[in-house]
Amino acid sequence: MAIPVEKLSQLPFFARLDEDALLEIVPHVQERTFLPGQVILLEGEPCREVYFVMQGLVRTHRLSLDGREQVLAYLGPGEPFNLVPALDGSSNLATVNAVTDTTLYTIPCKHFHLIMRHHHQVALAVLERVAAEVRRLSDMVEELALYTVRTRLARFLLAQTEGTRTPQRRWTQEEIAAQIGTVREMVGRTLRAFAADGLIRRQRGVIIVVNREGLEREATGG
Amino acid sequence: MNTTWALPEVDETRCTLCGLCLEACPCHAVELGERGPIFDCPEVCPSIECSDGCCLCEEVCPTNAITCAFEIVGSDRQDITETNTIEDEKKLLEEERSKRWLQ
Repeated sequence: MAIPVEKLSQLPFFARLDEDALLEIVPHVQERTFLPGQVILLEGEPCREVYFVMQGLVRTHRLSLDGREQVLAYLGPGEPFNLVPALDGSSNLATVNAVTDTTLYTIPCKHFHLIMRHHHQVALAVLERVAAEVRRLSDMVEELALYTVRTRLARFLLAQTEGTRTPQRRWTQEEIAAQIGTVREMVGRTLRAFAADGLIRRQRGVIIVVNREGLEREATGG
Repeated sequence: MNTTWALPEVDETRCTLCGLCLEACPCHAVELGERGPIFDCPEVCPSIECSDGCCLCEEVCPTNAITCAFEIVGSDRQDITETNTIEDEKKLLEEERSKRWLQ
């Protein structure tokens, strides 16, 4: 079934294109849906498509050989993924799975190359996106390499209350560990320490940041 | 705040019925069913030992079969912070127990 042109124009990547350009691209676009937990693509497999999230939430991550997981990003509506392997022809960078009911638009890599060649606005959007990703991943590397678990967890908790950087949703300790680059036991231990220090309060199903200033001091490594 | 969703979830394919979660639970809110633990956790744990929220069942489970999910909010969330604190609830429970003892 053909994708409606107006839906495609809602994606930031294609927002600068006129209707004629969109009509050229639409035949190459497919819609796919995924249930929560379903794997969309696997790290290391050949890159076949570029993806755009239309609805829902996806999670990109990498796994170590001993099963430890590191989340690279949560992506919501309007955001693309699998751009890098589409550009350099290499294998998928990460495993991606659906967190919620998710609808994606996909474009085969070979068609995406043609689209970039014929429509410089799309090529520009790709450059801007890749630049933003480099910046974001640099910040992540800095955090993982230079900050303690305590600092990383404090920054995560504050970001959650501000609605920035990571989606607002329910979290398990395992998921937080994968997000901040540690193991579940460390998250549990550090949460208990924060509670004992009066920075947070825990009730069933809720963690409440009660001492924001204190947590901000932790977040700066102070 | 309605946190009925916040009861621990069990992956029955991983549960070995070891019972460590029952021993760990300070509120004695766990029963062992045929395929895994069944939780009936109170909103606020009345146990004096449990002063900082729970998830002890998740921590002691040797097969990672139990997960507790939670939201992270600031103290400006009126629907939560107007609820009694844990200390208030414990005090109320102690008063209730004392009344029953005197009756």
